[in-house]
Amino acid sequence: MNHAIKRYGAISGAALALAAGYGLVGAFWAVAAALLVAASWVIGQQRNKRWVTSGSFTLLVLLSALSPLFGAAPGWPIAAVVFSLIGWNQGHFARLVASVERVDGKELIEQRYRRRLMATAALGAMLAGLTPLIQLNFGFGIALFLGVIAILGFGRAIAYLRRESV
Amino acid sequence: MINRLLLLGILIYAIVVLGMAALNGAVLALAIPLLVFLGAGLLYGPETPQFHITRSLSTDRAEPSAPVSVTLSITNEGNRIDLAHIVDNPPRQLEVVEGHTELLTALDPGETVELTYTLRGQRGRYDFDEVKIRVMDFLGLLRRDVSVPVPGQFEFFVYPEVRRVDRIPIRPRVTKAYAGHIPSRVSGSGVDFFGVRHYQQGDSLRHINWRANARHQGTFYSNEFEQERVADVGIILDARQRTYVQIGDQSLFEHAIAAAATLADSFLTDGNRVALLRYGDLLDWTVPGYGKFQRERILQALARAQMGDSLIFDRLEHLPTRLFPPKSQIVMVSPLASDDADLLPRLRARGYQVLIISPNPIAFEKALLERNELTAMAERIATVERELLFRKLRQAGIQVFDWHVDIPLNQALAASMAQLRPLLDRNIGIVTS
Repeated sequence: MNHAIKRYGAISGAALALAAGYGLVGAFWAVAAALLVAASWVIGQQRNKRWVTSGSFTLLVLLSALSPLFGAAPGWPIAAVVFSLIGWNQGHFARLVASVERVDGKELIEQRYRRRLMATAALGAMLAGLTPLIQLNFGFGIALFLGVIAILGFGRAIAYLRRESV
Repeated sequence: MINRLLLLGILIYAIVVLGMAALNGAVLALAIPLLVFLGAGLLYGPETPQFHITRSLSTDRAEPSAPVSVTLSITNEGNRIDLAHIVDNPPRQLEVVEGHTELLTALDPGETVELTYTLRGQRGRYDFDEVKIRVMDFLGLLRRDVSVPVPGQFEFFVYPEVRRVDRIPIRPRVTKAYAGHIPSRVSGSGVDFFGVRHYQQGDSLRHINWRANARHQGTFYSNEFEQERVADVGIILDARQRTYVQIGDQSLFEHAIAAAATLADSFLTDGNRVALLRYGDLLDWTVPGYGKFQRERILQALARAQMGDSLIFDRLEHLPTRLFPPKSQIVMVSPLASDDADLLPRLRARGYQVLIISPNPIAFEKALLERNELTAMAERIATVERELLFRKLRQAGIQVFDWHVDIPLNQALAASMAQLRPLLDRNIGIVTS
């Protein structure tokens, strides 16, 4: 019960942060969309539908990524992404623990897991929060070069991840 | 289903592309929590794990439905593992009645965990598989699946049910030299009266036949007794699929197996030398032997016995008649097919004493089928055919025991022993040793 509250709390937090970000700039269609996606996520989680939870997580992250383009303050989408990550990962962990017949040292494992998750989320939130304070001026050439590097690099990274995740 | 790691990578990629296309730093910043998450997953991701696993069973052979406890001991010989999902895969036909076959745990270097569960199952030979282990970090982004072989065993037998039966009255034409329980048709020390002969010096006074002495005055006569010895017994298990009835999970073959096991156990307990031949899709031959080791060999052969179809062994004409010692006793367990009547007498012609324990397929099927006019008529016809078959076999000097399998073999034999014994006695051939 306690874990469920925490898990749904993270999803609610993500939805509310996103709704606040969009609401403050008057994009109420996005507020409705964020709440709808969060509701479907909670339902998917309750019914143990993995594709619904992963789909809802993806939609919330993409909605968050679009929010700065609509003028939302950067803090809200960052909070939404971090909460989404927490909710998504907790859902996965809870499913894993529930699916196994016997878990040895369950409390210790959960404690270590929470510590790792919170540390990662806090670090991510902190770095993301600091990023807007950093300003770098690029010329077009450097920007183009970095863009090409990013595309190639990410392409290779995804190929690596795909290989590792088999 | 898209992998979580890949999903995260795609999201990061999408956000970066969107941020760069929009030249918006706030969008780019949103990739950072995801990147940190991904980085943590890669940083703490599991290395190739190393395990040492041992599996021990409370016994490597069991009676049907008897519980067998399995203990799996897993030692982590590599680095620390955040999460290890260990799954043992016992053979599917065995039922887990207690404990768990999987475990989720964290493992420090050198740490050992144990997985204990209890199985039970029906007759068969079972092989245990490798142990499957999935290791992952707490965030569950990277995982590695390994199949770890377990050194040593493991094959596991569930033997057929063996019931204790009274001594089965067999009378092979030739017995062996060692003392046993089978009348040998040779005079000597024994229990059963064999004949009368002239008194010889040294004969016990208790053995003098006073009635014969009274008739022939001046001459003394002594009683002779029949020696009891061990014999060679060959058990033939008919495993031809076409002779058996199977309805759902009920199979007449299982009863035949149990009968063969019970007979082998009984003959071996009496000290006889016993061999087993399974005649089905192939010939599975267990060479003759004595005692407990032979009992184990035969029970193992019966545990792995399966029915089968083969064009070659479809009829009994390929039954090897020279495998068994000459003039020994053959006990065949078979429901019998109508065309067997022409071929079995060949065994008699070669000098074997033949006893057939025939599980009755008609009664077996009747108990499992719905009663109506058609089945009643079919039963009558099949019964007449079977009676004719039995008559032919009996005319050829073969003893047939018609076994209704709803009665356990030991009880059925005990009830019919009185009828079986004189039939066997009548078939004694003259033997000169």
